[in-house]
Amino acid sequence: MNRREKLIALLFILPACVLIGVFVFGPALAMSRTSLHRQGLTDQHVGGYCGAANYEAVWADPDFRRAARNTAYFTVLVVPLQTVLALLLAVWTNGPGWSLRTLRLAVFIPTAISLTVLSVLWKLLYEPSGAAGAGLFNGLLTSLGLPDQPFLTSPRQAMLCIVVMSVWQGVGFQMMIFLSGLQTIPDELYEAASLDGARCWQRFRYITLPGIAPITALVAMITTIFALKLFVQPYLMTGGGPEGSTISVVQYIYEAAFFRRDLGLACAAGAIFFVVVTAIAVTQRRLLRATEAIQ
Amino acid sequence: MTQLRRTSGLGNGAAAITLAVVFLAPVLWMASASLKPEAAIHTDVDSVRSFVPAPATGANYAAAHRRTNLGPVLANTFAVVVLIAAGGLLINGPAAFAFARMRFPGRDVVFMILVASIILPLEVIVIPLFMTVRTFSGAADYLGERAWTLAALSVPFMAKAFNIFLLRQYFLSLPKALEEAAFLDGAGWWGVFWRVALPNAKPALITVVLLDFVVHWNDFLWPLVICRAEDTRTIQLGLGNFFTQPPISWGAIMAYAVLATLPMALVFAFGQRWIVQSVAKTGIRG
Repeated sequence: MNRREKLIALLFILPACVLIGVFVFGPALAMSRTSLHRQGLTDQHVGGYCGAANYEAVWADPDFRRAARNTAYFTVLVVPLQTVLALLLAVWTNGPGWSLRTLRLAVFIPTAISLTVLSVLWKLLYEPSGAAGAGLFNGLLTSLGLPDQPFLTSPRQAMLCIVVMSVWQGVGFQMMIFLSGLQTIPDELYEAASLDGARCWQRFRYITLPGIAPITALVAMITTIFALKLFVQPYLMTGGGPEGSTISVVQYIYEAAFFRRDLGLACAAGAIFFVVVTAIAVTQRRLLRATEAIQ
Repeated sequence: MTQLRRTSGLGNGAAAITLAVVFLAPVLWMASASLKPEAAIHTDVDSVRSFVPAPATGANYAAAHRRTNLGPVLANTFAVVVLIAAGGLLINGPAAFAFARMRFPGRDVVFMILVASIILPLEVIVIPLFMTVRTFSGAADYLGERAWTLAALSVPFMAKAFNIFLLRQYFLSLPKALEEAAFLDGAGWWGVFWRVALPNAKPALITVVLLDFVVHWNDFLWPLVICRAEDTRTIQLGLGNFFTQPPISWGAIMAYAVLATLPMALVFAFGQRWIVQSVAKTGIRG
């Protein structure tokens, strides 16, 4: 390859390299640098070096601990619930017929709607009985003769409400991935098992589950990363309340920058968040490789 | 797989349809509420009438239009997704082609570094990215606030390592013979890329464009950070604001939400297959 062709190759990749450098790696470096300095929101330049002071401030901040706890709680509930439900729905709807096709489509539709729209919608559905009228869920409880629930206005129920809504929204996507995994299992395996007298549960346990183990690990990994990035649902449905019971790590970072106006603090929290997300992703990737190796 | 289901036939079908209806109930309620008079929304919650828009009215849509700046907001959102998708093709396409077909020193190292950027999602770098984009705020004096915001909403997301990765995979799977024939006809690298490789990579291009559309039409966090003036907002941010703007009218809010959803519903109806395939294959979303 001569010099001219090397030049052409450079021109082909240069715009992408420059933009990703400026808008992804640049900010990542700026984040680690700013996290070690003092900088207010309106300061154009980085202030004095302050060592690990911002990290210590984040670590000691009860709001951050609450945000980390809430996000972990959300993730620990959403990931298994969504993965198991998606798997069950995929196994159920993997077949011919218009009724199964209808169910597949119905489960997929919420994933096509933005989290903003669905957060606004579910906030109205969860509305407690009051002067403005009750939301659909409390209306349903009333018509069944059950007591009203506070839902999003209760510190104990709010995060669970957000979990339910999030599982409902995201399960269709995971179901679709499982469905494509199920198609790769050859029908002959099931036929052979049937001839051998395997029951329904045995076929699921010894053919379906091993067949989709790698894709299950993948689905769990995607769902975990998504859950950790929780922001829109609590931001719009509860604003992080009541009593900080739903504030997420991303909202903490956002508020550190724009409400407390402390970019150093926000960047330190962002750096911690990055390390945790990456560590979890790497661990899960290892597990994924391990499961593939076992297959 | 049909063997797995013990009870096939009528019972199973009825259960599937029932679950489908229950699952979609919130979305059906949204559509129904957007068409009902405000008072009826609140009196109907404890009965099945809740899902029936009778009497129907267009008043909520009129109110959403009157009380907000829907026109400019929709125009902004369309502009942003089109800019990202078009800019993305012009930037990621050649890069992916070079990584797939051209040989130059450092190619694999550079490619790996670019792909590594996937581990830095927007939620992680949102604040420093805001700081980076702010350093260009002087340009607002020349461009005007609205054009500057559109640029700030789109330019940072045009180059995407994930899209380069996906397109490169596809270019690698194409037979080289077509390109070699074009070279023999005297075409240069750009000609081969633009007239041979790109048209043959249509499924991958559609996937990339659809993913960009969905992700950025639905984005809330970045517009929240960037948009200062009301007429620079995108549709999701507009909804987030209208939702808390008194007097609260559920009907008008639901009408706005339906309008924010319809364009993406069309995109999904058209492209669901491609989106799901790409994610199933690569395991990464957005």
